[in-house]
Amino acid sequence: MKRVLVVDDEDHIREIAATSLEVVGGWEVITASSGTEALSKAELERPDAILLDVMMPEMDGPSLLARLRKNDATRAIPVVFLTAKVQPTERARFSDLGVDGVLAKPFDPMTLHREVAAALGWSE
Amino acid sequence: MRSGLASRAFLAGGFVATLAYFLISSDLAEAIIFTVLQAAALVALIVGVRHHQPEAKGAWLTLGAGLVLYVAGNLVWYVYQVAANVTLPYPSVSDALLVPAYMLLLVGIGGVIWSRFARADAGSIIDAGIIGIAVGVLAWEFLVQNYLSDPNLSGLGRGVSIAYPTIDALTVALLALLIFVPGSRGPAFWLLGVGLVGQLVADIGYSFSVLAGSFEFGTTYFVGWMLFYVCFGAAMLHPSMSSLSEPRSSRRPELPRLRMAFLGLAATLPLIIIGFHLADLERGLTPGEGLGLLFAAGAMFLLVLFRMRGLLVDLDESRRIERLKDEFVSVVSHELRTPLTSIRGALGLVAGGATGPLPDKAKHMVEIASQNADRLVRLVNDILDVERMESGKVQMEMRSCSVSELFRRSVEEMQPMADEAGARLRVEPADAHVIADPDRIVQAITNLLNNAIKFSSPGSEVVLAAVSDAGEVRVQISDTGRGIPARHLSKIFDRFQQVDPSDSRDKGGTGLGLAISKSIVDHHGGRIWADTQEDVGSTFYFTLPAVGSMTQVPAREDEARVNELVKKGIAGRGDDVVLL
Repeated sequence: MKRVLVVDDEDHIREIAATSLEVVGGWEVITASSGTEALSKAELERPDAILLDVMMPEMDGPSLLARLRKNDATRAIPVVFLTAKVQPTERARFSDLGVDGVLAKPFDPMTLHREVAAALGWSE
Repeated sequence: MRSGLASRAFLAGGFVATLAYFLISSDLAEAIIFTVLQAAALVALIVGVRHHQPEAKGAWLTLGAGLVLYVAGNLVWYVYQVAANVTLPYPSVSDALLVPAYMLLLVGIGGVIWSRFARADAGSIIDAGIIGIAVGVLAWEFLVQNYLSDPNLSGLGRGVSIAYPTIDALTVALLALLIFVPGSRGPAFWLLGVGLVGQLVADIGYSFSVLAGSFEFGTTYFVGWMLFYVCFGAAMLHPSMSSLSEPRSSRRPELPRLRMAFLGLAATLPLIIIGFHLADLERGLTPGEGLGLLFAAGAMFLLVLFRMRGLLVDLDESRRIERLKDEFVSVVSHELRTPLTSIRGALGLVAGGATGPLPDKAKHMVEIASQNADRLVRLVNDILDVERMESGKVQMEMRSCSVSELFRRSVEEMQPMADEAGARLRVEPADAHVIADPDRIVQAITNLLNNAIKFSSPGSEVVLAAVSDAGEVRVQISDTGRGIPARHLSKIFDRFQQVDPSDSRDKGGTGLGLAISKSIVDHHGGRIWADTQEDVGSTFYFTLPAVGSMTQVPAREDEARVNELVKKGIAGRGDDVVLL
């Protein structure tokens, strides 16, 4: 069973994404509401993937991604951005940062796990 | 006619006629060719106005009246001079027809340009005026002064001789206005512009030949007049002619840098003329002339300075508004999407059964809420799309793509909706390649398919086809739905223009699909239009630039990666767009 870390500062969105991946996708979900919390949970729990909100106060998605990539313990964990900024130019910028996938908000909770799996090349 | 075929045919015929005009040495044949070309331009105007139904009918009528007088004026001249071999005095009855013909033409073109104004734009009028005055100063220096001192000219002759360069100065002002006022710039716009320039060049040639007393029938500068009729006729037959008199609002001052260059040039003109005189001692200035020119130089300089300041303020202001709009769009896209993500997500989980079974009635209610949350998401996405597209912030990633692949992707997205509506999607084989941003074109096609399916009854067929035609590929989407009433046809590509206001409720559309499709096609340099018959069905067409199937553009590896991510992303968002 896949274990995924969901990082979002919005409580409701975090809860919905987590419920969607747990109930519909059947995955195990860990959550974090800030970049700092996400860093320590990623290092401690070593999830199979991280679903990361882009716009967060203090540490945003791209900075968190950079920190994860610098740490030997978390470097290899694939990261998927979840963002309301859906512009092609933004996407190009994100892909330059080395992110493994970009998904748009609002997402469909009944298919989110499939989209994450497709972005990471996981077979179900 | 729709594809601009008639316009191209007119252009080709016109050029052949112009060539023949200069190859044939018979005056009579030349007269016939010239008159036929003029009459053809008049016919093209009538056909164009009837077929393309442009706004500002009065202006087009005035143009037509001007052309009628033109034909009459020239015909009189030819009958006397060529057929009857009688030398007409100067000025003659022909000039009595031609001077008002010019005036009507200018008033007509002025009227067309006037209808392009979405709001009063005093700045553009002043700028055009300054440029017109500069040309007037030139005309005064080189033509009018000489006419006034020409002992061979009668009083009336002087008046008529002065009238022509005056009209030319007005033509230049109108040309400047045409360039400065924001509006669509289709082939008709450029044809009209080129035609007016040709007319101007011929007029200048004519004025100088009158001055030198060497006016001769069929001299080189006649090509300018012929160019005017050829381009004018072709412009009238082109589908984009109706957009000539269509207003387009723009908060940005159009072409501020080009304007400043023109204004700067205009301001220095009187000074250049003074310098010209100073260098040429034999033609020295009288104190009166010198003072007049200095006064003109000073006045022009002040006017231009005043306008330059205005343009700089406009530039600053438009940058500030642009920045505010960017901030607003970014805030809206984030702040609206955040609660929407929660609402849609929560409803989606409940409606999808992820939180356990619901009583039938509750399930139905949650489905209604969920569908409307979807609609709100689409609306936010569409509004942001339209806004970005119209402000030119969307960058198209152009490459060579196969039409059949674009069709395959579009149909794949729309098949579920077609199945639900009981409509059959049929794709006709297409082997053409186009230069396009594939994701955006798929978005345009799915929008059009969406409409076609929405208005189709169960069991009917929606056909997707492509036709290659003279360097472009025409994509067409036909349905057998209820059709669009003729009176709505000109507005369907505007935002929030649903034929029946209840459609947005019943059909779940946002009223922005066609506006977005049009924007996408415009960004590709194509055209989009619809043919429709009430209760029989509609066909939507759009054109894209074609490539030969041999010229595939290889995608670089990093590009391929970006494109892949973009594709995934748009496909993700595609859910929103597709389920419309």
